[in-house]
Amino acid sequence: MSGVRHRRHPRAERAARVVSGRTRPRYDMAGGGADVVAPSGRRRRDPRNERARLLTTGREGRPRLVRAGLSKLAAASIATVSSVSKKIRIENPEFLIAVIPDMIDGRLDRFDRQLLGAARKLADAGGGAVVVLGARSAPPMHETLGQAGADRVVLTGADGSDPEARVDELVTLLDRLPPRHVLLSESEDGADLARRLAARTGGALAAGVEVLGARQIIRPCGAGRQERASEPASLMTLAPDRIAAWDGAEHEILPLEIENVAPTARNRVQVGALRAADPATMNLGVAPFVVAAGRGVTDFDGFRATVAALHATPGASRVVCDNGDMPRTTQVGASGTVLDAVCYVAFGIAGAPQHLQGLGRVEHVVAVNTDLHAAMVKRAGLAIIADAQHVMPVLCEMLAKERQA
Amino acid sequence: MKAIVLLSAGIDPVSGRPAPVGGEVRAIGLARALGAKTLIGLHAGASVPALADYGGYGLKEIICLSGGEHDPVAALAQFLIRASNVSAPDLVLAGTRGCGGADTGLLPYRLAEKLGWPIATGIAAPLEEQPAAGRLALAQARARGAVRPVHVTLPCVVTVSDMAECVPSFVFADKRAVQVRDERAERTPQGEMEEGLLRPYRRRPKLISAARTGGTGGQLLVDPTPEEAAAAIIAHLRSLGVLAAADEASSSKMT
Repeated sequence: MSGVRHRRHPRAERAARVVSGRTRPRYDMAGGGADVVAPSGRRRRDPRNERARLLTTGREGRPRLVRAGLSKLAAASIATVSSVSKKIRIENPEFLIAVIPDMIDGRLDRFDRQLLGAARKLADAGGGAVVVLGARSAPPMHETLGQAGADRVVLTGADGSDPEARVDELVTLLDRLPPRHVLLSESEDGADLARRLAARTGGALAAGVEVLGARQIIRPCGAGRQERASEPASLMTLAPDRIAAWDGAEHEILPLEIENVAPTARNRVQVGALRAADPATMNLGVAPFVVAAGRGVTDFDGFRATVAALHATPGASRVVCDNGDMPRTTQVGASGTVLDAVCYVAFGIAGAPQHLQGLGRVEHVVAVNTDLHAAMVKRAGLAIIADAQHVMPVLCEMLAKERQA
Repeated sequence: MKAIVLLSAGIDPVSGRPAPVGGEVRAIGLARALGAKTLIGLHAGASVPALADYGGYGLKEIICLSGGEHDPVAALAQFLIRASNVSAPDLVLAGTRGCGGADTGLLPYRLAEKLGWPIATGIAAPLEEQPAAGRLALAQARARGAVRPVHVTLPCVVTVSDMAECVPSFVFADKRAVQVRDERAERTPQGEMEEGLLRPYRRRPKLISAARTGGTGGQLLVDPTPEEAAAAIIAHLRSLGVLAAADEASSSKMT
């Protein structure tokens, strides 16, 4: 044996790795970067360290291992690419595809994005451009529209209060463009507008298109028992949740030279502002927020007061309706109403399978129940294991206090 | 008020057998709610036995325009113009869309355009306060039970929402008593044919919406005091946005 034999000194190694400035001791196991030298003098591989050196951030922030040894370089190039993503410009389109989104509350919602995705599909098949006909009253949203796949934006003046004036304006604008296809959504407002446009122009309308391609569209007819496959029509409405939104690169919105149209009021039809329904009397099947009582509730006057304070629609389980404590119309479940609510609060309901069937499409459930193992507690986003009869009056009081303040 | 309800020979979506269309039944209900003195059903096409079902919902008389099925809009418009020489109808009601044909819901719009009348769509009920004669105030049904007031000048076309609750009760004796009368419509050239291939419907999957927001995974409070529980419920409901914030609640109470 020649030379000095290196001995590891674990305590010293550990002390060298301490990260200072913390109350609890922390050790930087990846730090240093130098490989450990074994007692025999050979360098020992440190797989963790190697991996850390190779690790870079790839597309969409996903970890990526660059094994070519150019990790730092690669990281830099990826970073520059992702930060300066190129916008797609369509300068001289072959044709135009017009999209008339609903823009409820001046926002681009899911269905509007799907509409733009469909328009992109038609436009990209032949080098076309997508024109959005949006209301001028909405806030400027060129960036959002560009991300959703629009190439041009035309602002229209008329709002929904006079549908005939809106149609007049749109018909004139579409005459000036003129687009190859016009797309609307088969929502309440979009469906109405599309039919008004079709009646005014006398053209055909493909309503509720479910499959859309550049060559073929398919839409249901014959009471939903048949479908008709045909070429894309000049005016189409798209069924919701059928065609994916655009998720490619952002499009650049270029200016479009078009003469504005001054809307002329006709005043034969006047549509007023939306009035939300009174939750106390509205139909349980469409109510957005339902508060229901089960067997755990005994004081129904208190329950009704709580429901009124929460500004919700009252519901009940079957037992409560059978006892006559709540009217039969409020029953939730298989033999009652199936809810379409956003939120459901269950006071003293254990959650029989027949009752849970009534919560088919409810997103958020709050359960107040004494039984920790109840089915409703499992279904709930917020479960409170307490007596509903004690919680309700306090809840009522707190809401009343807030209202007074 | 004289009202005309447009009827179609619809089919039941499940069984495929002839059946009244829900929207048209509601249209009869709405006409009755509007207090129509004369109520006539009008069908473009030869009479079929299933039309008598509409009689059970409150129609006394149904007129069928045989030969009108080639171009229903022209046949209906001709009939209405001819009828207006005798006693003009104030109101033409229709369902949102047919059931069993092309089902585009375009016919009432085309008819209104042809007659030069305004059209009010997706109506659920008349409004309580009615304006002066010559105009009509109606409630347009919107999602989640919301309503938009619509004021329209008479005469007009009205389409009735499928969500309207004005379904009249069915009376079998009235179905037996209804008069179905055939009238010859003038021969009109065949309207435009729908192109494309007709085939049985194939169910296709819908897009699945993006991952649900939140994903709370279930917050659990075991035996809290009632105060803690109430505070947790209020905070949770506020975070979901179903309960108005405290300041909004107090301000909405004042207004």
